[in-house]
Amino acid sequence: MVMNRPTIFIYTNQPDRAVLKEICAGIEEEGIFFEIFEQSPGELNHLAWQAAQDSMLGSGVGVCGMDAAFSMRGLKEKRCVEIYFNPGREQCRRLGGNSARAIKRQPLR
Amino acid sequence: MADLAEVGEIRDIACEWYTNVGNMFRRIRRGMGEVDKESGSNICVTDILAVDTLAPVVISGALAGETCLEKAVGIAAMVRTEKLPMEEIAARLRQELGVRVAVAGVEAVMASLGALTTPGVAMPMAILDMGGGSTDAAVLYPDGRAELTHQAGAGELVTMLIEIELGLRDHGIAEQIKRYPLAKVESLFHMRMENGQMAFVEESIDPRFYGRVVMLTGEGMIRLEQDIPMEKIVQVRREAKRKVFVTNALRALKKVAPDHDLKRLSNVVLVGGSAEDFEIPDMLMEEFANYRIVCGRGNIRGSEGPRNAVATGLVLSYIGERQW
Repeated sequence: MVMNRPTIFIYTNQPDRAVLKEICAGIEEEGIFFEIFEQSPGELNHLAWQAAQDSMLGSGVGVCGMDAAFSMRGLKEKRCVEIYFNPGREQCRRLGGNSARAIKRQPLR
Repeated sequence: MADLAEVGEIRDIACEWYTNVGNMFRRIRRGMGEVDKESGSNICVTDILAVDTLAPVVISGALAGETCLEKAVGIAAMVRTEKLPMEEIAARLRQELGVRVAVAGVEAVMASLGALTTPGVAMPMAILDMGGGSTDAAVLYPDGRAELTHQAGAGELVTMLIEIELGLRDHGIAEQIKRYPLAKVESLFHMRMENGQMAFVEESIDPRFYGRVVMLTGEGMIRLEQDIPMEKIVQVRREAKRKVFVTNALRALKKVAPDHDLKRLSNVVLVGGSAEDFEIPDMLMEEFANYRIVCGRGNIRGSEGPRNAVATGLVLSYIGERQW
């Protein structure tokens, strides 16, 4: 039996450990579950967009090396909600938090 | 306010010294004295509008700036001076614009003349000029007679009530809340309007507005930073408008109506900036229906909407004087 869990999908491609850790911490702070999947090399926008499409909750994060993006289902591929290149610790945590807050219908930070 | 309605013409209102209201009145007189130095002690308060409200008060000893709502009273006063510095303003305009500037007319009468340019309006008619600081009413009769009154309190008092009751501490945001309808952005593709309707959009809404209460202006949306439920804002805004405009409209029209009987007025033209509001005319219409009064927004010169009534009246009056 295939089960779709209500989680935020994080699609990664050789992610920076620190960046990924902070994003996960941001999601966790908001009390939402997440799953991490390693993907084949691709554009950051596409990773986030695909994650949002595949996630049952409609919220997805893409992490590509040091860069991170967050998208929601229904948005165009090139129009991520947030995108950071080489983000700081706070930005990573905020991005993770926002991907969770979007599900809870709370204002983004 | 009930006692105030019973008395006749008010020449001046004095207050007990060293009370809250007394100090407020003293400040008003001092402020007006600075504007008009010539009048000196001849500054009179000829009308007040007192409105019950709730104001957040910081709890003493609170650790995180907690507040509680306490009963308060908002007061607007109509101040009359012997002579406003109109001549000075006229001289300055003359100097800067290089055109002839004359001081003339009574505001309510000029607004009535302007309102007469609304298509379909005929005398006798009543006008209600709802501006920022005062509400003026006038009844114009075919024989040229005019009854008029100036009442304290209008748009600015509404803004102040909204600012205080919602604890905004920002006059600009309170002004925007007064002017624009609200909506809550519930997803990137739809929002819930304040009347319960759902509005869907083709292109996704900017994520900055996601989950927020927004004000819908003609040019786009303005995000409200404060975390206040939309229902509460709507309730405070409507209540403030009702307390000020409905109360004042009834007060003003009663003063100018024949025998002070509202039922003897048949139609009222609403002019002034506040008549452009998206809900005040509806509130007044609802209230006036009890007295079988038909009311509607003016459309000055058939094109200007409810604004420019006084300016149009002044021009008409000037042309009329020259022809005589």
